[in-house]
Amino acid sequence: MSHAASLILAEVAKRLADIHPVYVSPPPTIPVDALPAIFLEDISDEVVESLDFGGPLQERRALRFAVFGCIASTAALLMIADAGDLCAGIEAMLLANEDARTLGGLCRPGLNRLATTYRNDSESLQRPVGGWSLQFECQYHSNTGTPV
Amino acid sequence: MPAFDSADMAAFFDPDMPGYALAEVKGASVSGILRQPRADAFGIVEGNAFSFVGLETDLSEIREGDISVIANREFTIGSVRREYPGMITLSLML
Repeated sequence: MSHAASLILAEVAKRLADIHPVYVSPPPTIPVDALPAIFLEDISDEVVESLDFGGPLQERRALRFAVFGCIASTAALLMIADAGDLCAGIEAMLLANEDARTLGGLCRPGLNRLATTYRNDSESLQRPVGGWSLQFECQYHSNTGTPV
Repeated sequence: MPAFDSADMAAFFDPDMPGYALAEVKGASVSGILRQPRADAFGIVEGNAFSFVGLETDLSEIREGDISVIANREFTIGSVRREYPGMITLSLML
């Protein structure tokens, strides 16, 4: 596999799987009893800059995705503390040091966290579910063409 | 929505009604209907949305956070709603 965005996502999923099972969007529904789980969501790979001099097409791309650490709890208020622990675990895996941020050198500029949002649903199921969703961006360069 | 008379209520909470269950509420045994449809959260987590519907006169003292044993399972009361005249709907958490 040489597609850079896919390589990066695969490495993210591999590292996060050391914490809890990882599902990539669009995931199948999983039973509430299977939580905690981590979902990779809102994946996009956007060209933010390109240069074409008739030679190799140079692109700078921005891979963006969200990591949703989802847990179930016995009460909505109790969930916040447990969700925080999982959020900290995700941060440690992807942001704690240079190796984590660059995914072992795979993504040299490193991962940037853009925002974090808290999602909570205490009405739909027999247990409150939710957690923190962390949005990441990783910019990288690629040569996608060949000289004419 | 029209009010229901006692005959209506007796039919609703008849032991032959599908979902009929007994709930232990404040030490008393209360008749009602236990619903447990499949549901999901965020479109990615699935489970059951348990609820119990009973007579308002039987459930007027119950509050959010109370514990009740219904159909031999222990539930925590998540919310107390008055959706139908003379009845109370309890959302239940395991």
